Amino acid sequence: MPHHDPWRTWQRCHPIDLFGPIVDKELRIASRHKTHYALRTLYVAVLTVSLAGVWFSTVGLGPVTAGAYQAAAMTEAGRTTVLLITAIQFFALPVVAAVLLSNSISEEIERGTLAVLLTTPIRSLQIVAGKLVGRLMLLVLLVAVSLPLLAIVRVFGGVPWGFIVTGVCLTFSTAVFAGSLSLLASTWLPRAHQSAVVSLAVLVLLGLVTTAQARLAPPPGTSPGLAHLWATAGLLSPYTVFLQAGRTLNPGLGTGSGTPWMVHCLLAVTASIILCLLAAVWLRRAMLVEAFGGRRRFLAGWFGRNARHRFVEQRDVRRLRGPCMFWKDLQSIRPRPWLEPVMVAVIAATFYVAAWLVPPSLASRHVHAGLAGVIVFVGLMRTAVLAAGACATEREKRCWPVLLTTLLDERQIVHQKALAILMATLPLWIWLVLHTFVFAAIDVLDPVALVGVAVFVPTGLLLFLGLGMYFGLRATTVTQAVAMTFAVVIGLCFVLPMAAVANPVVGVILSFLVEGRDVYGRLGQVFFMLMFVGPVLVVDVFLGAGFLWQAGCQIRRHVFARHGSGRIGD
Amino acid sequence: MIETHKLSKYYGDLAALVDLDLHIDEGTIFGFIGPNGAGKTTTMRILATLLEPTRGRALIDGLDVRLQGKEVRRRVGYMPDFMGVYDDLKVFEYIEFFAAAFNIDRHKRKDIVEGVLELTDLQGKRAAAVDSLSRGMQQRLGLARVLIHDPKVLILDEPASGLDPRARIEIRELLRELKRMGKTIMISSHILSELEEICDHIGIIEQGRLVFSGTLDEIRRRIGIQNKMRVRIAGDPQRAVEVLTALPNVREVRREDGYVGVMYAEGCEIDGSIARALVQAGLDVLALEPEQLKLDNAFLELTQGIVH
Repeated sequence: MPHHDPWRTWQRCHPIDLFGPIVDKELRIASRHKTHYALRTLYVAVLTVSLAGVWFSTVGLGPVTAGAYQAAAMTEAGRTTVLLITAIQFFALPVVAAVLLSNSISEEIERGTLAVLLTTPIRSLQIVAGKLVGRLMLLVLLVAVSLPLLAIVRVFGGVPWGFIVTGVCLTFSTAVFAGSLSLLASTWLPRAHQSAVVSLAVLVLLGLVTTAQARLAPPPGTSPGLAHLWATAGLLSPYTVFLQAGRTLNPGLGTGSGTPWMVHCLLAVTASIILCLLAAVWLRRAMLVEAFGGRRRFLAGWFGRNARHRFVEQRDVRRLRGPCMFWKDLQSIRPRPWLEPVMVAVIAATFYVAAWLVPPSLASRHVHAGLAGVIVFVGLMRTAVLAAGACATEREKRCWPVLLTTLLDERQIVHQKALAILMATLPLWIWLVLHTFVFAAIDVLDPVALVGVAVFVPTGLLLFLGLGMYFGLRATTVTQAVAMTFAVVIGLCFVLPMAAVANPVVGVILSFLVEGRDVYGRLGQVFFMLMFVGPVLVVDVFLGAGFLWQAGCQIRRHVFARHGSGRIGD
Repeated sequence: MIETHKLSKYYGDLAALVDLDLHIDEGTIFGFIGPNGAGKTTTMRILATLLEPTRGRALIDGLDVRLQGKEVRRRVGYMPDFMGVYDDLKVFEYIEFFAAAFNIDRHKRKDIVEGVLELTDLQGKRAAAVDSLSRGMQQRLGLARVLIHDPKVLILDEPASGLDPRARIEIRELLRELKRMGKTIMISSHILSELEEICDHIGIIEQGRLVFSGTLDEIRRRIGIQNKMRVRIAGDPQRAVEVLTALPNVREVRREDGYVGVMYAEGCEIDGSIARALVQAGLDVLALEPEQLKLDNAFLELTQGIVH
C-alpha cells in the first residue's frame, strides 16, 4: 500500500511549485526592483491626494455644523471616495499590468535565456503562468494597500460591501486580461514598449467596440435567442459593467440594472486563459527559433530583428548624404523613406472619405479639433519615443565608445539626432499644417487655428524632443528610456495642472474651437490665449532647450554605464 | 609617441590605475597584458579620450589627451573590447559614416573607404549588412574603421578575443602590415602567445600598477631565462645531468619533462661544449636549443594574480 505523505501533497499544491520556479524567480527579482517600490509609493500618494481632495470638497474645513448635516456629508464623502478609488484602480491597474508584463518574454529572448530554459524540465505553460502570476503579484499589493482605506471609508456609511467586492473583482479580471494580452504580445514583439502599446491599444479598442455594442439595441427583427446573445455580448465590456456597478453607489450615473459582473469576470478570466495558452504555444516556437535558428513568424517576423536584417540585406548600398549622424539615424528610424509619407497620405485620405460620407463632419469644428488633437498627440509621442530610442540605442548597441573617439562633438551628435527625428515626423506635421491652412481658407476653421498650430506644435516639439533625448541618455536600455519618457510626458500633460494649461494637445484643440466674429474679436482671443498660456509656453521652451543641452552634457558621462561598468578596472 | 606620467584613475575608493608611467616609441607594437581588472582597458580608454584621469598626464604625439582631445582623436584609432555595430547599415555605409565623422572630404571618401576595405580584405563584403558578419569579419571591420582617418596610433583593446585560430592569424598578419606602414600600435590581449609573436615591447600591469615594461629580451633577463639551454637526449638523462654538471661555467642542471635544462653563467657561449661533452659521454643529442620565452610563464612569474 503506497505511503501517503500529506506534507508532500501540500508541497505539490504549493503555488510556487504549481507555477514552477519562474514565479519564485520573478518574485525575487521584483523585490529588488526600486521601480516597484517607487510605484507603490506613487500609488499611495495618488490615493491619498484623491482622498484629501474628495474629503475637502464634500466635508470641507469650515466650522463645525449640525451633526445630522455633517453625518450626511461624511456619507457622501465616503461614497465618492470609494467610487473614486475604485475607478482609479479600475483604469490604472490594467495599464500597470500591461506595462509590467510587456517585457516578460522579449527580455528573455533579448538575453538569450529562452534556449537555456528549453534545456530544463520547465514547460512553456509554466513559464507563461509563472511570469503572469509573479508580475501581477505587485497588483495584489497595490489593491491590498487600498483595502484598509476602503474599509475605513465604509464606516462612514452608504457604501455596500458588494460594490467594493465588485470593484476589486472587475479590476483584477481586467488587469489579468491586459497582462495576458501584453504577455502574448511580448512573445511576438522584440521591444517591451511595443508590447505595452499594442496591448493597451487592443484593450482600448476592445473596450470601445464592446461598450458601443452594449449601448446599441439589437437590430430590429432579432429573434429572442439572438437578442439574449446580444445582451450577453454587452457583458464583454468591462467599462459598461463597471458603470452599471457604479450606479448602485451613485444614482447620478444612471439607473442601475442587475450587475452581472460575475459573468463578465468569468469571461475575462477565460479569455486570459486562452491568451496564456496561445502565449505558451508562441513561446515554445520562440524558444525553438532561438535555440536552433530559423525565422519567426507573424509580428515577430515582420517587426523583429530578422525582418530588419532581411530588409538591410536586400536593399542597395546607399551613399551618405548630409551630416553623418543625421543620415545614419534616418536610416535607422526610417529605413523605407517612402513608407511614412504614404501611410500618412492613406490615413488622411481615409479620414477625408469617411468624413465626407457622414456629411456634417467636415463642417464641424469639433471634428477638426479632434483630428488635430490626435495628430499632435501622436506626433509628439512619436517624437519623444524616437528621441529616447535614438539615444538609448547607442548605449544598447555599445556604440558610444566608437562614436566619441571620432571628431563629432556632443552638440553635433545631439543636434543631428534631433534633426533626424524631426525629419521622421515631418509628414504628420505637414498634414496638420495643410489641413489647418485649407480649412481656414474655406472658412471652416478660424485662422486662429493656424496661430495655435504655429505656437503650440514647435514648443511641444522642443519640450518632447529634449525630454526624450535626455532620458534616452540617462537610461540603460531603449525600453527603460521609452518608459521614463512616456511617464514624464504623461505626467507633464495630464497630472501637473500648470502644464496641462499649456499642454500642446489641449492648446491646439482649443485654438481649433475658436470662433471669432470679427478681426478684433479673434485678435482678442489670440491675445487672451497667449496671455494665459504664454508664460507656461516660455517655461516649456526653456525646459526643452535645457533638456537638450543637458542631453549633450550627459553623453560623455554615461559612456560605459551599461556594459563597461562591470569591470571598471579592466 | 605615447607617454603617461603618474597616470591615475580612481572610481570612488577603488584605484583602477595608480601612477602609471608608460613610454611607447613610434612605430612599435606595444603589448599590454595583465589579469582581469588590472587597469588595461581603463588606460586605453583614457588614451582614447573616453575617460578623464583622476590625476597625472597622458600624451599622444606630444598632445595632452585631456586638454587637446579633438587633436588627439585625429591621431588615434581606438577599437574597444566590444565593438558596437549599427545593424541598419551595410559595410560600405558603416565605414563611410565614420569617414564623414572624421571630416574626410566627401569627394575623397569613396576612394578612402574602398582603400581600407581592400587593406582589411573586406571588399567582397562591402554590400553585406554589418550585423551579418562573423565575429572575425566584424573585428576586421573594426580595424577598417579605425584606419579610415589614417591615424598614427592604434589602440586596440583585445582585438583577437573570441576569434577562431584562422581569424586570429589573419588579424595578426594585418597588424604586422600596419606596423610596416609605420603605425604605433598599443594592443591588449589575453592570448599571450599572440602578443609574443608580434610585439616589440610588453607592459605588464596588475592592480593598476605597471609591474614591468620592456622588450622581450628584457623580460627574459628579468625572469632569468636568458642563460638557459634545453637539451633532449637519447639515453639515460641522469647520466647527462652528471656530465653537464661537470662542465665549466654551468651553474645548474635540472631534469625537466623530457628535457635537461642547463643554466650557465652570463656571457658564455656554451652550446658547443654541451654537445661535445654529451657525444663524448656516448649520449646522442636529439635537440639543443636556448629556452624560448613563454609570455605565459613570464606573466605568471611577474604577476601575483590579485584582482580588484
